[in-house]
Amino acid sequence: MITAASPQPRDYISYSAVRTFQGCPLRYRFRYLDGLSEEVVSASLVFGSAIHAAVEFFSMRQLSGEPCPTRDELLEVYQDAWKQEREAEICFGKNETVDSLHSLADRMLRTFLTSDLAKPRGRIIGVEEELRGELTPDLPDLLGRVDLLLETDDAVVVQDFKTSRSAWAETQADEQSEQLLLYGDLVRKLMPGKQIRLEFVVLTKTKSPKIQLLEACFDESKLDRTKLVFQNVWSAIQAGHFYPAPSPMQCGGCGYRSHCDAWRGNPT
Amino acid sequence: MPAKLTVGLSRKVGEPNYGSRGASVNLEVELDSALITDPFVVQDRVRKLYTLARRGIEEELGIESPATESPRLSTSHAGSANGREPTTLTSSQQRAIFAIARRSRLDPNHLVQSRYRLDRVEDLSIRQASELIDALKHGQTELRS
Repeated sequence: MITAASPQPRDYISYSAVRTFQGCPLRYRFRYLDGLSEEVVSASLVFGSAIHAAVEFFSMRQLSGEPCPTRDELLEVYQDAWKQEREAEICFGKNETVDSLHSLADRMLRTFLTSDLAKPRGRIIGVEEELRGELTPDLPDLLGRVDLLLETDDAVVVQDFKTSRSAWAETQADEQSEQLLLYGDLVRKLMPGKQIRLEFVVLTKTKSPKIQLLEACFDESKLDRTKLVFQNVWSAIQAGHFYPAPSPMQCGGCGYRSHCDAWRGNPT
Repeated sequence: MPAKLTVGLSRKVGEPNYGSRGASVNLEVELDSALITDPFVVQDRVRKLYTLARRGIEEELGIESPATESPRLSTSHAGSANGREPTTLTSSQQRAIFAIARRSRLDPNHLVQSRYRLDRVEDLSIRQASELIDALKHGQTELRS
C-alpha cells in the first residue's frame, strides 16, 4: 500500500503534467506529488529524447557559428543520451532492440541532415529554451521548454520537434497545437509586435524516414479553451482528486503499475 | 475549530557606509480545519502567504521583484522600467556568445561594455544578442581581451 508521502507542490505547471493528469490522475500523483520513479520506461520515449538531444546539439552548433556536425557526431550525441538510461529499465516494443533503434536513428539523422530543415529560415534565438510565464492570474506560472525559436523579419517561429511512427496528416498540426499555442502565448509577450508562427517538424520512424514541416494556426479561441482546461485540471489537482483511470492504451506501458495495484486511496 | 496559519518573513538590504535597512512582515490567517487534512492545500496557502509577504517587503524596501507579470526566459531577469527592451537574451544566446568569444579569444563582457554600454552579457536584449552573435560570427568585433 502507498503510504502517506509528503506532497511536493510546485510553483508552476507544465503541459506534460496537465496531460498526465488528464490521462490518469493517479499517475500524476505518483509522478509529480509523491516523486516516485517509474519502474520501466518505454524505448520510444528514450529514443525520442535521444534524437531530440542530437537535433539540439545540431542547432546549438549553428547558433554558435561552429561547423555543422557530421552524422557520426550526431550519432555520438544520440548514443550518449541513450546511455543515460539504464537498459534494464527500458521496455522495448515488438521487434525492437537497441541495435534496431540505433540503426533507425542513423537513418533519421541522415534524413534530417540532408533536408532543407537543417538550414534554418531565420535567426536562431533559442534552442531547448525554457520559458516561464503567466497564463491566467489564478494559475501558477506555465513552465515549458521550446525546441527551437527562430526570428524572421516579420515573425517569431516557435518550433516543436516530433518523432512519429508515420507521417502526419495536414490536419494533425492543428489537432495537436495546444502545447505550441500556450508557448506561443508566452513568446508573443516577450517579443511584442512580432507575429507568432507555430510549426511542427515531424521526423518519421519509418524504414525510409521522412521529414515534414507543418504549420499550426494560432487559434485564439482554442488557446482560451486550453487555458480553461488547465484551470479545471488545476482545480482538480488542488482538490486532491487522484484516482486511477484504467485504459488498455496506457496501463500496458505505465511504469507505476505496482504502485497502482497497491493503492488503496489517498491519505487523509 | 479553525486552525491558524502564521508566516513571517524579514529581509535586510545593504546601504552605503556599511549601513542597512530592514523590513519584516508577519501574517496570520485562520484556516478551515477541514483543509488541514489536505497537505497540498495547506502548502498552497502557505506559498501564497509568503508571496504576499515577499511583495510587501520588496515594496517597503523599494526592491524590484523578480516575479513579473510578463513571461521570462530561464536566464532572463525580467522586464525593466529603464527604457531597455523588456526581455534579456535567451540562455542559448548567452551560451553561444561565450562559446564564440572563447574561440576568438575575446572578452564578451568587454565587448558588451564597449558596444552597448551595458555591464554584462546577461544585460543584452534578445535583439542585441542576435546582432552581437552575427558580428562575432563574421569577425566584426575588434576588441581583444
